[in-house]
Amino acid sequence: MESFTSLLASAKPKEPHAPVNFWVLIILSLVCMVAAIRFLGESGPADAPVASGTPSERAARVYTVTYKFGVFSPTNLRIHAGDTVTFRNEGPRSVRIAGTLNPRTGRPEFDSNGPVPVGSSFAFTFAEGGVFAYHNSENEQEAGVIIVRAP
Amino acid sequence: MAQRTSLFITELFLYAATVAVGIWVAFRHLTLKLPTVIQPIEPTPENILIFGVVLIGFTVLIVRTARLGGWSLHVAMALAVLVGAQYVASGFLPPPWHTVFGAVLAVAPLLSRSQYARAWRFVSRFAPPLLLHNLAMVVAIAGVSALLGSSLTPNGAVIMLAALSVYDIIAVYRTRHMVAIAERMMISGAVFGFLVPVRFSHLFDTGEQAGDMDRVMILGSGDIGLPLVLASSVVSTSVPSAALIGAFSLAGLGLTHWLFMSQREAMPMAALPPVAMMSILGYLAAILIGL
Repeated sequence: MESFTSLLASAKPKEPHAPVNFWVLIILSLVCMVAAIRFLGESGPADAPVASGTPSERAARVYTVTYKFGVFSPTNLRIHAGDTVTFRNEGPRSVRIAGTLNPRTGRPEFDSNGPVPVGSSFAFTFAEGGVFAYHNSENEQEAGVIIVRAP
Repeated sequence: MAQRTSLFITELFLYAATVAVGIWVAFRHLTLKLPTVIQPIEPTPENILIFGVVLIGFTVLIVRTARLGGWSLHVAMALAVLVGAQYVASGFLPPPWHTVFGAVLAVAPLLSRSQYARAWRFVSRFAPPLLLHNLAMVVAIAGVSALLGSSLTPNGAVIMLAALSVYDIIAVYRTRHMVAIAERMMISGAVFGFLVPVRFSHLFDTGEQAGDMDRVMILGSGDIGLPLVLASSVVSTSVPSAALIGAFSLAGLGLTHWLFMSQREAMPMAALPPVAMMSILGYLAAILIGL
């Protein structure tokens, strides 16, 4: 924030070069953009639903997670309980999606129960809140997380 | 004119390198750390209040620290470099080597400053001090920004960026404490930011004149790192959005450079607001395009 000051080491404090109006304009622009982002973005671009109903009383939504180049995108997805996530395989080979093991049941929180072929998808509806990590069983480095807000 | 162009190319080169490294590090850690989840901080009123208190406390601290003496700035800078470089290195090196990497980079800029004249003369015979300093800064700022960005939601990062832009204007033109801190950093030689020579080729100079503070401009760490915080906060949801924010922040750097060069005489200038404005505009564009 103290940029470009070394040229000015010997400069004595003087009036700023830019008129006050310029900085006021910058601040107003920032305020407008912050307001626009809060209005349009909610929590970011990837939170925009793929398909949605009218939000008068929040309807369940469907989100899409795409698998491509060994990456699940969005890698972190925040949804609400009752929403459905569709995992779409756009990679070069089939992928098996498995949630981490539930410590109580000893079984994955969710599982595609077999490989998802290239171009196909697997959908899962998250009924309860929680943090659900998952990975590709073929390569556990390829992973993602679904954060589900409780109703 | 040629000198101004060369100056801008050098700035752009260092800035673009930092943005690229920062986005890569944020993405790399996202895939490495899963399924461990860091819950991002939401911009709630309580969090904004805490942020304000921390900001005021930080200002008081750095103003007082600047008065204490050069050594305290050196220690603060070395710690920041250590944290940032270690975070970057942990993306491709196993422990404890990432800590070793961070420690080496933390010491390198200190050696290249004139206060450590004997060590500096030794280093400058073999390695260009300006390049050494700036490479350490690229890694350190990218690491710290990626670390901070991954713990914030995009909305939180936008509010932080806007608030710090207003703070920058006040700190440069009203209270002038930012100018005082910059001058103190130059005197002590502990500059946490880029040292941009007027010509790109001067980056590779060796010898005793290479790190001469009269021949360089400073681009502060906040101006470089804060837009990268916004880009890093978006990486977990959309890498193309992060890249677009990075590209817009580069345009913001161009706008800042033009504003600075259009001054009738060289004066301290708040560089963050134009860069922040363009970065936020980039994020807005990403939302509208649907990246």
